[in-house]
Amino acid sequence: MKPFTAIIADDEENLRIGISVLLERLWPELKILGYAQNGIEAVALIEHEKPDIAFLDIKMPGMSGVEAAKKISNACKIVFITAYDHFAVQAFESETVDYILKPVTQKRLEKTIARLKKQLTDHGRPLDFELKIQKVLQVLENRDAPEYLRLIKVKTGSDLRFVPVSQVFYFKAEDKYTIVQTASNEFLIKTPIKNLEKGLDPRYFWRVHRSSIVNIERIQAIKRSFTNQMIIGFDRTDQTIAVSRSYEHLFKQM
Amino acid sequence: MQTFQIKNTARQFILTAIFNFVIALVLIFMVLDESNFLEVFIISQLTGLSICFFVTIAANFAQGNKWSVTIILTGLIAGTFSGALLSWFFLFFFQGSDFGYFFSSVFSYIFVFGILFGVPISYFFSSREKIIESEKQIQKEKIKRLTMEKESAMTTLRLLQAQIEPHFLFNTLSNVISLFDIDIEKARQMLIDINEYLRISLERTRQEMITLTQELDLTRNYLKIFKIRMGNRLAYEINDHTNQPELAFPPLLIQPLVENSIKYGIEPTVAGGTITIDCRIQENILEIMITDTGKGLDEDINKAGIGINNVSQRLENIYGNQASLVLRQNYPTGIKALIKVPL
Repeated sequence: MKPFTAIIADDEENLRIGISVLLERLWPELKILGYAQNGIEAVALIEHEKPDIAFLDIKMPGMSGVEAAKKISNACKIVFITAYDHFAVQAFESETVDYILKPVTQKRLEKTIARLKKQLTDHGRPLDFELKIQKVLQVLENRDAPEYLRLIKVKTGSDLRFVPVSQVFYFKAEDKYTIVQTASNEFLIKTPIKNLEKGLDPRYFWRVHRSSIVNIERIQAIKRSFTNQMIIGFDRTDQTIAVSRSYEHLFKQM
Repeated sequence: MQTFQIKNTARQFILTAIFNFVIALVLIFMVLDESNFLEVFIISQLTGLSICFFVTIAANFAQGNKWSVTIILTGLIAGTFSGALLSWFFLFFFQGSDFGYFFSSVFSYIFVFGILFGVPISYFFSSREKIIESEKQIQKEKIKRLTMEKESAMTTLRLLQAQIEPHFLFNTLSNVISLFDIDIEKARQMLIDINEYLRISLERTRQEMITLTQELDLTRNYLKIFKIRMGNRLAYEINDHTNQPELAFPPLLIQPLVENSIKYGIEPTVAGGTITIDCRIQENILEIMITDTGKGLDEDINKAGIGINNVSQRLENIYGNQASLVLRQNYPTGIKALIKVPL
């Protein structure tokens, strides 16, 4: 019988060699056909070498291991490798996809090898593999997609800056633009305030007027003007923001 | 706030009514002994309550206004006149007194006593308001300070956690294990680096200030570990032009930005990149520039944002508005982070 073949993909060289040394020791008949340093190389390698098994690291530049697995779909058996990744492990467990954790231990690898041998000789292939990978991908994509904006991209001339939202005192609509006010600067961005509002954490960013959103952590004082309008003052700027009557209730319990 | 204010205003009116009663008694026994007590009592109440009404409204406008005294005095005079007018209506309807009689004998009393008692009473009420107001202010300040302290502790904690992040730790240890099979000497070196990194990290958790050299050493250790892991994909350079090895500097400012650069700039690119740290002193301001040639922030702008927001918050907690963190696009690729702190 022709020996089984495999490829190994990991962006860190030491880990590629490390796992191949371990495999050599525990499964000497397995023939390693090649190594890949990123997801794109892995896909090309699998398509070219047609191995029985692919060991894919999850976090790789260019294309992640899971994305690569989806791309080659049923071309070979796949074992994912990951360092501490709560989300990925949970996703693999629930979808019963093979995975090993870094640092790779002999014991765990032995178990995986036994399972692989059984699957390969059975010729049974889980039919819903693609669906499983799709589900895992979804979990991973949602994992660190933050709910709210953390940085605001501002352009001043040819200069592109990134302003942490925690530094922003308020956003104020001005014609087609939005003013972004910080302690020391005032920037203009093209995003309309309406679109901006959706991305801001409502715990800290309150709309107080048709044209303004304030960072409540930066409010220093709320005063009444002579005409009894609520006026918001901030820590380090003389700029103030007027509260329209319909939003005054937001501050009533304070 | 609303119910509090209503309760407060009601109490004020009741107190005023009692005052008015006392004033009426004083007037009847000491000044107007041959007058009808009921008449004096009603006029006192009408005048007093009218003054109280106008002064309360005036005080509302006067809050935080630099013309507050003038506004309250205007309220007092308006209240007095309105009280006089009400008193005349009362006298006209119930006793048929004509305006001439009222103006010659009653009005002057109302005016004189209204102002006489009105000034100290208005002053009494407005200063009471002020005390309540300032108590509320103190309370608010206290809450604000406590929130800030909590916020500051949370930021520090988050930065510390990021420093010995599990993903980093397991990946690094995984490298060491692999290196035992490949190159024992390299494995030994990497363990020494990790040991050093963890030691400095944990040692300084309780320190408010370390030296710039220490922070740079820790960052160098961190980069060294990544260099072994990433090989040719990572290059780094640390240039300290300050010539002040003992320069005091808070921990947890440089390393988190370097981590960001690796994680979101260099690791995701196939070709890798370079990280450069330049420190220099310019007109009594320490400038630290962290440049990477990674992929920039376009896609991961928000994932990378946690660390940046934490560093910016921490700078503010320590230096107030004396320090700054500015992030710019580096050309042709990557990010330039510039920290400025006063010496």
